[in-house]
Amino acid sequence: MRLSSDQIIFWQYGFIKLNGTIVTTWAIMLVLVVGAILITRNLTRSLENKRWQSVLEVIVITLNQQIEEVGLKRPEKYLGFLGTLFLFIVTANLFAILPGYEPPTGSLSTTAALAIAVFIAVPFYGIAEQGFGGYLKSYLKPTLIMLPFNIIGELSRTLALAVRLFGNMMSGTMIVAILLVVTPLFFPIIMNALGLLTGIVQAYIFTILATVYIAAATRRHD
Amino acid sequence: MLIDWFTVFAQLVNFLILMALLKRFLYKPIMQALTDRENKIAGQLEEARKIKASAERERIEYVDKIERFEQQRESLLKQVHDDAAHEREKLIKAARIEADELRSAWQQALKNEQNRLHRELMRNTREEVFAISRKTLADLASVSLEQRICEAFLQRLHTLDDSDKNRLSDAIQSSSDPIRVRSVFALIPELKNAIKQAVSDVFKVNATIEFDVDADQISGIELSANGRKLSWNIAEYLQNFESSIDRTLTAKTVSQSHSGPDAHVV
Repeated sequence: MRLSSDQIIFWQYGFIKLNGTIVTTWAIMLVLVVGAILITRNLTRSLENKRWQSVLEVIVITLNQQIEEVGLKRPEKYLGFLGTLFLFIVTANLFAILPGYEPPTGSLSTTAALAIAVFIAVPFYGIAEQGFGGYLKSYLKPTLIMLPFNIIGELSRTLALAVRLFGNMMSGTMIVAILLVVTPLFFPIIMNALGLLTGIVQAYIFTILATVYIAAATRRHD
Repeated sequence: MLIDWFTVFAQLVNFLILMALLKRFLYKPIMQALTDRENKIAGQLEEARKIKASAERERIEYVDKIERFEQQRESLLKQVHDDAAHEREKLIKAARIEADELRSAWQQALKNEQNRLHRELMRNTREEVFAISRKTLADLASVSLEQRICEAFLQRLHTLDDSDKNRLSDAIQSSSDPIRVRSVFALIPELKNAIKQAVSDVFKVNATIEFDVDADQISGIELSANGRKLSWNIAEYLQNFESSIDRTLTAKTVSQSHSGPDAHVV
């Protein structure tokens, strides 16, 4: 039984390979970027708004508000990273409605890559906000004894991020696949719908957790 | 193996590329559009505030103007009322003057008419009196009126008091002109001779006497010399009759003048 789309290999040259996860990711990237280009090509500055522009504006404004609500003072600064994280995961998960589609988020490689991105982004934004020394000092809070636990916590939460998203998405796909075998009519549809909901919720959780980590790293000394 | 590290690396790179692309094609233009729109809205709000302030100023200005106009209207209306009242007074005064003038003219016309009537009456009365007297005298005494007048005149001539006689005598003697005797009728030769004889007897002169007929003369016979006159006439009777007629006419005129023109005065 195939657990991940990593196992679908289209092309391989030694260590380098082109698998299903990467191809699907490229397709999602293409959809997102082309969609963004098409919609933002003729943006209006007037009070009368176009329909798709309004949709994008609602998405961007909501993301901004969510980031701000978590506690980041200047959401525009983090919008590029956190917004892309959310849009990529949610798009990847929602395409699960298409038959034969395997979401790249159902691959531990993808979720690990995203978790690593968060793992890198947290100190990046932390250092940018309060300086190298200031950020490092945050590991010594509240006491020096907590240093190893802080480091373990940093690693473990990254691992948790990756596994949580992978587990949920992989299981959703797996359940639908198993149910199709057991009860081919109706029930998989319900599970698929539930899978869509789960996908959106997971995207939200992943993004919010990343936001919380970044917020924690940037305001430890506030 | 669930994790393929090449895929992890590739996905990481993919994610970074996607982040860069979305930043370029999605967030930046959308945020820019939002900022522009916000600025635009802010600008329009500011403009609206300015327009509102301007409108408020204009409103106050127009309210002031309306108040001023109202005051001006009131003042003009009052002036028009005053002018109208003044004009009305003037017109009433003019009408009153005109009415007075009309009344005066009417009264004058009435007076003229009264005078004309009076003269007419006088003439008719005189003629009637003469006619009556003539007929009465003719019927009763069988002598003509002219003869009776002449007799009355001669009687008067003879019964003149001394002072009158002397004055008349002086006048006759001092004048080179003939003595004139005027009568309303032509005297018959006997009467002319009787008069001549009487003048000669009374004044002791032999003067020339000229006899004239004067139809307008009211008296019967009049003798005049050098400005002095002696006459006998029916003036006294006529005078009494005239007085009586006058009283009647005056009473009638007064009653008409009270009810006539006044009725036209408004």
